[in-house]
Formats: sequence, structure tokens, C-alpha cells
Amino acid sequence: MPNSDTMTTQSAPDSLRRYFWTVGLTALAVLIATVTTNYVVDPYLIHQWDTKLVQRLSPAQQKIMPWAKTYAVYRYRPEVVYLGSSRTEIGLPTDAQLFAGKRVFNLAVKGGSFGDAVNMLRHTTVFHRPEIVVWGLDYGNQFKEENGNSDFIPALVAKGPSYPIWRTLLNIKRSASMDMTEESLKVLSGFSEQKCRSQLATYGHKSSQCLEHIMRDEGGTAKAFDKVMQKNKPSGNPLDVQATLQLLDRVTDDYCRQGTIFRLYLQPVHALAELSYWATHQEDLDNWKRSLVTVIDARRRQGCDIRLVDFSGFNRITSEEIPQSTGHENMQYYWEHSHYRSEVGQIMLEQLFRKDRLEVAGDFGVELTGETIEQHLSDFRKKRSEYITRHPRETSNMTP
Amino acid sequence: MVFNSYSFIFIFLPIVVSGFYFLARKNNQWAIAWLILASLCFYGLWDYRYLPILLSSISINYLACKWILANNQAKHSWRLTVSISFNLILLGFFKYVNFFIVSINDVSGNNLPLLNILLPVGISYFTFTQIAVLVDAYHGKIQAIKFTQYCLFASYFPYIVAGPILRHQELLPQFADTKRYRISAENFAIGISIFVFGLGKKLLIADTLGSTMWPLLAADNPKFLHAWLGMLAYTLRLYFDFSGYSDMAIGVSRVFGFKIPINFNSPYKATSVSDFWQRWHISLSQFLKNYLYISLGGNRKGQLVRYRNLMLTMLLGGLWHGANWTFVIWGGLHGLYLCMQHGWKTLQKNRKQKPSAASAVASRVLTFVAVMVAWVFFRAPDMASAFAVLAGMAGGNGISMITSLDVQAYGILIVSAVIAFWLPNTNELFLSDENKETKSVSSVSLFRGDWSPNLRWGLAVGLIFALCVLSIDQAKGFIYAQF
Repeated sequence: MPNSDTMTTQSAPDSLRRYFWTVGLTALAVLIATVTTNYVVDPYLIHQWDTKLVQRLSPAQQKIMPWAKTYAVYRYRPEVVYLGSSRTEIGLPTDAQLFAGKRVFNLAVKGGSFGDAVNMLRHTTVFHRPEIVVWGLDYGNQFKEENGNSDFIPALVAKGPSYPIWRTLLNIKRSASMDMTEESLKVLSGFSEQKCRSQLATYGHKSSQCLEHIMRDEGGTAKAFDKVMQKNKPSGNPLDVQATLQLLDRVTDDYCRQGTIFRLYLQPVHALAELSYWATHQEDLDNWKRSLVTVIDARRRQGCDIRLVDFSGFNRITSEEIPQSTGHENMQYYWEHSHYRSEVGQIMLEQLFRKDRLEVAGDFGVELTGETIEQHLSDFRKKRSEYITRHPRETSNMTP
Repeated sequence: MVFNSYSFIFIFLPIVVSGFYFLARKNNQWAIAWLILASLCFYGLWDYRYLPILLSSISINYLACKWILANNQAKHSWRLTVSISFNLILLGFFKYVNFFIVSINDVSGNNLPLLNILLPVGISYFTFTQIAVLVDAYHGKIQAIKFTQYCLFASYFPYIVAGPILRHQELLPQFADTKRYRISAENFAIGISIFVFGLGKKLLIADTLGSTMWPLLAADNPKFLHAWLGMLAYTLRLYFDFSGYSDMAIGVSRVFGFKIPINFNSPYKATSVSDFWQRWHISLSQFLKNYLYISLGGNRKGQLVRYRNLMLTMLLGGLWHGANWTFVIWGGLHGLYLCMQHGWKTLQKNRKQKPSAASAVASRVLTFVAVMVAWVFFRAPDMASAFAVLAGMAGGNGISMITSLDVQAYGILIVSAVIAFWLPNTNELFLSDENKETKSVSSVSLFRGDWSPNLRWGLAVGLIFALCVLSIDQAKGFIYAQF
């Protein structure tokens, strides 16, 4: 009869070996199956361009767009790029007649900071230097060098020709994730919220179709304005304006020397948002605009084709009456207080690239230079006071 | 560097384990030196600026220990006082100086400027660990100590960031034991399995609770249901977060052959607050008991002094967690609970009746609710936020239905509650043979089942590990690492 102690010591290594194999193989099998599924289904379109999946309907709020956009431009190599935050992403259409025949891509991302825009520009330049850059600038805490969109990780920015290999590895790593697995399962089971064309299908621009769904889900335009009218919601001054301005100086200098055309603009948020966000630090905002003008004027003196236009303030577009006043459900120019429609973006693009001012735009868009800035700032304050006087009910809770 | 990262799991740990056993075949001292180097790298990867502080603390404490041990027959208590004072000043400077400045400003109305001080991660842990060594050296519990072993003991990467707080007799004899430097398949199997369970607790439960339940307490003045459910979620999250970390530390250390004692033993199954403290952050409870409560006189000088000692111990225990009055109140509440419990026990002393099953359930529920209410202060960034949540729990902010949670949120809440209240804990599953006393302390479990290296456990551990790897990119920081 075998001794039980002897049996235990002899069988232990075998059982442990089998245990290690079981743990390892189980984990490996699950991981390989998951990564393969996610990579093939690619619910976030992180490695798609010129494929059928780009035309697949997507959820209205598409996730991790920096991943999709950085991959897409690596393949597409645009000649015209738009940079900025969600305002630019939603507002500037890529099918503008102005750029007919050119490869245009909207590289703006939700929550994108100034630093994010610079990184996007550098990324796309690794594959093809853009001829034209249209850049929406946001005052407040988005005017910073640091990352603004948390999904736009540094690893996504191309450093050199090895990017395709690096990017493939990165895509595989991203595919090993729970959130992507959930989305893949939704796509495969038909439970994915397929509501509108993907942003890649519209060359990075967030389509009106998607925005309509989002606005419906969030309660509509009037509800958004209700919130902004309740009280001031200061966006906060930029933390390190000088460092960010120096970055702007360096980037425009680098690209101008290579012949890139720049069109920079200040975002036309609705007049009520302008009051809510920045009225409490108007002086800082004015100084920021002066500093921008200093940089842009210096570039222009070097012979660079660069312009800075201020679409913000209290003009015909930004002062559009809100649903609470008109009784209409929607507005002509705005989705809500912070985001303008493509129709406005279309006007802005034409304004940015044409020398003669558009009749329809009226006072919308003032070019800022050393000569115009002080008059503009003075007009800005005057129009702000007039707006407040004309809209006592809407601005009653705001303290400019 | 953190345990729940790709770089730790797939790069750091395999390299350190391979190097350790490779060097251990040649010389145990080289293996120890390798582990010290790995520990310093692990620590320095949080922020390299912390390293000089850690190294200074270790070197000075080692010299202080030798100083105390030299001619220890004479019992120079002042040497101990000086040595402990050094540690308290170090801890006080880095962790509490701004807290005191803010408090002085609040009371006096002054506007003294705050100091721009870097708080080294894990400073509370490595300071307490070394204070215990000094006290034990003074009491003659240590005869001699080698620098390399001491250095590894004070900087050992599995526990340097968030504990457990070890006593020298729990680890130093293991460093000296040559048999432990041989590869053991069993240690590997148990260590890896415990690590994976800890990783699962953190990534699959605690982090999911954090990301799905946060809307409940997001409002400034949460409503009744939101406040209760939000605090329940936080209570469970904290347990899975911290006990997950401790499990990972125990598991990693076990792979090297060194056994770290358990730090949690199903605390939410406790039937009284003192029972809770025998199950929650056990190493800290024991430290506070051995080095503070007993030093203050414990329960040897009458009931009133005992209550005073309990309150002082818990208030300081609260302050240890962080430089904020919320932690002091949290500790004070637990001190109060303990005083009430001992007072109640004294009143009940003459009653011979055995507690019924119903009263045991009631004790458990009452203990859990009391602990949960105290967590309100622990969680809150300031007193106003804590009182807002308490007001919500008392119904002062009104009642409304919860609409902000999805099915996944309720699912993870139920799963985590079932695990915390009714399933065996990691120690019961993996270490029951080594910690027999803990099995008897723990209570109701829906099933009993010891780990063994078989197909069923292999599949379970492999599956949990795969799910954890899939969740790593969403990982959040450890709550207790900030202490």
C-alpha cells in the first residue's frame, strides 16, 4: 500500500505544473479571443480608413475620437486641417466649396486644449505638411499647453517613419480593454446605438445628424440655455498664458517658414455664454487678445500668410434670439450656447479666406491687427452693454 | 509604479523574480541586494524625488537602532525618545505642517503662507514600521540586525506604499532563513493566485464601483436614497480597494518565498466595532494597540483611563490617515463607538444569557451601519461635505428616486455586497492552513472551499487574470496609497 506522504510529495509538482498551464492558457485564450474580436470589429474605428467600417452607423457620441482621427490622418494625409475644440469639431464643415478639390480634415477634438491642437498638427505633419491650417482658439482653461482631451495620449502622436508599426502595437494594446469589448459585443449583438454617420465618414466633422440625436438626449436647446442663464459659470483664466503664447509663436514661426497658411479665429460662442464664461474677467480676456495680435503681427511682418479673426462677442450671429424668446424649438445658428452650427462655420470659413466682407455676415468677424485691436475692444464692451440692456430677462442672473 | 499596471505585471515583476532566484542560487546576500534595488526602483518610479527621503529615513533609523542596541542593558530611554522624535518630526514635517498652518490660520484669522512640500508616498507606512523596530530594540526584542536585511525590511516594495505595517519579527527571520531562497512551485502558485484575486478585487470590483456609483454622491446635497446607496457603494469600494492591495502585496511577496501576514479578514462580517478593528487594516490596529494604547496604560488603570486611552488611540489613528479634521473626526467616532461598546459590555456583565441568533444579526447590522456612517467623514474632503452627506442620510435633503444608475451599477453593487458579506475571504480560501485562527474568527459564508492547484481553480484564476488585464487601462489609483 503506498505511503500517503510519498504520494503527496510525488504528485504535488505534477498538479502544480498542470495548474500553471491551466492558469496561463486560460488567460491567454481569453485575451487572444478578446483582442482579436475587438481588433476585427473595431467599434471605435481606431484603425480604419478607406474601409467599409468607416461608413457604418455609429453612436451619436463617438468615443476616443483622437485615436480614430490620428489614424485617419496618417492614411489620408490632408492638405487642409482644422484644429481646436469641440466647437471647431462641430462647427467647421469639411465639405466647404472653398476647399473643393483639396483633402480637408477636421482634427479638432472634444475638450481639446491648445496643446492638443499643436500635437495634432505635428502628428499630421509627419506624413504630410498641411498647406492650410484653420485654428479655432478658445480662451479660458483650454488655452494651455497641457493635454485637454484625456483620450489624446502622447503615444498617439507620430514621431517618425516607424509610426505604422508602433500604431499597430498600440491598437492591439487598446483592443485589450473591457470598454472596447463591451462595445464590440453591442455591435455584434445589434444592441449598439447606431444613430448617425461616423465622424470619419465626414472627415472628422461631427455631423448635424449626430448633433440632433445628442440634443434630443440632453433635453434640447432651451434647456441648455436655461442652465447658462441661471448664473455665471466662469471658465477661468488660462493658467500659464505666456508659455502657451510662446508655443503659438514657435509653432506659427516653424510652419510659416515652410509656407503654411494660417487662419486663426476666436470661437463665436453665443452672447449669453460669452457673458457667463468671461464677463467677470474681461480685462484678462482683452489682454489675451492683445497678446495674440502681437504674435500674429510679428508673423505677418515676416511675410507669413496669417490672419486672426474675432467672431466672438455680440454680433448678428452670436446675439441670435434664444428659444425662450422666440418660442421655437431650435435656433438657426446654434445647437446650444457653446456650439455653433455648420452654417455659421461655413460663413466663418468664407470670411477667413475672402478679402471682401460678406453682406450676410454683417458685423460677424473682425480681423484683429495692431491697428484694429483697440477699437475692436472698445466696440466689444459697448456692444456688450447694449446687449445686456436689450436682454434684461436673459441676463438678470449674470453679474458682468 | 503600481501593482495594477502593465509595466509592473509584465515587465517589473518577471524581471525582479527571475533576477532574485538567479542570484539566490549563487548567494542569498546578492538576492537581498537585488530586492533592495528593485524596491528602490519601484519606489523611485512614483517620483524619484522621494528616494533621498526614504534612504535618509532608513539610514538614520538603522544607526538609531544600533545606538539603542549598544549597551542596551542600561536602557537609555532618551535614546529611544530622540530616535522616535526624529521619525515623528519627519512625518510631521512632510505630512502635517500645512495642516497645522491652515488650522492656525482658521483659528487666529492670520494668513500664514503654506509650505510647498512634497508628500512622499508611503511615508506613514515606512515611518511606523521603523518606529516599531526602535521600540522593539529598546525592549530587547532585537539582539542584532544586519544593514542589508534592515534596508530590505524598511523598503520592501510589496508593502512600502500601502502596507501592511510589519513588525521585524514577522519578516526579518524569514530573510535570514536560507531555505526560503529556493524556488518553490507551491509558493509561486499560491502567490500568483492571491495576487490575481487582489488584482480582481481592485480592478473588477473597486474600480467598477467607483466609476459607476459616483453620480450618487456627486451632488452638493445628496438626497436620502442617494446618500445611503452612495455610502454603501463607497464602503464596499474602500474594502475591495484596500484589501485588494493587501492581497496583491501578500501574493507578490509569497512569490519570493516571504510570507506577509494578512491585513483583512472580512471586516464587514464583524459583530462589534472592536471585532471590526480585528478584521480591518489588522496591521495598523495591532501597531496602534501595541505601541500606543498599551504604552498609554491600556485597560490597566481603570475604566475611565481605558476610555481616555481608547479615544486618544483612535484620534491619533485617524490623524495618521491624513492631515485633515475629517480623519480626526472619523477616528474620534470609532473611539466613541469603542467606548460605548465597552460601557455596554460592563453593564451586561452580570447577564448570563447567551446572545440569540437574532441579536447576532442585529449586532452585525448595527456595526456595519456605524462603520458606514463613520466612513462619511473618511470620504469627505471637508467637514461641510461630510455634514451634507449626513444630512442626506437623515432625510434632510429630501427624497427622490435614483435615476442615474444603470443595470451594471446595481449589478456590481449586489455582487460586491454578496462577496463582502457572505463569501469566504482570500485568507480563508488560500491561507486557511497557515492562519487557522482567522478562519474561526470569520463567520457566515455561503460556501467553504479551500484553494488547491486543480483545474477548477486554474480556470477561475486564469479567467480573472484575463479580465483584469482587459481592465488595466481603466485602472484608478489606490485610495490608501495617499496615506
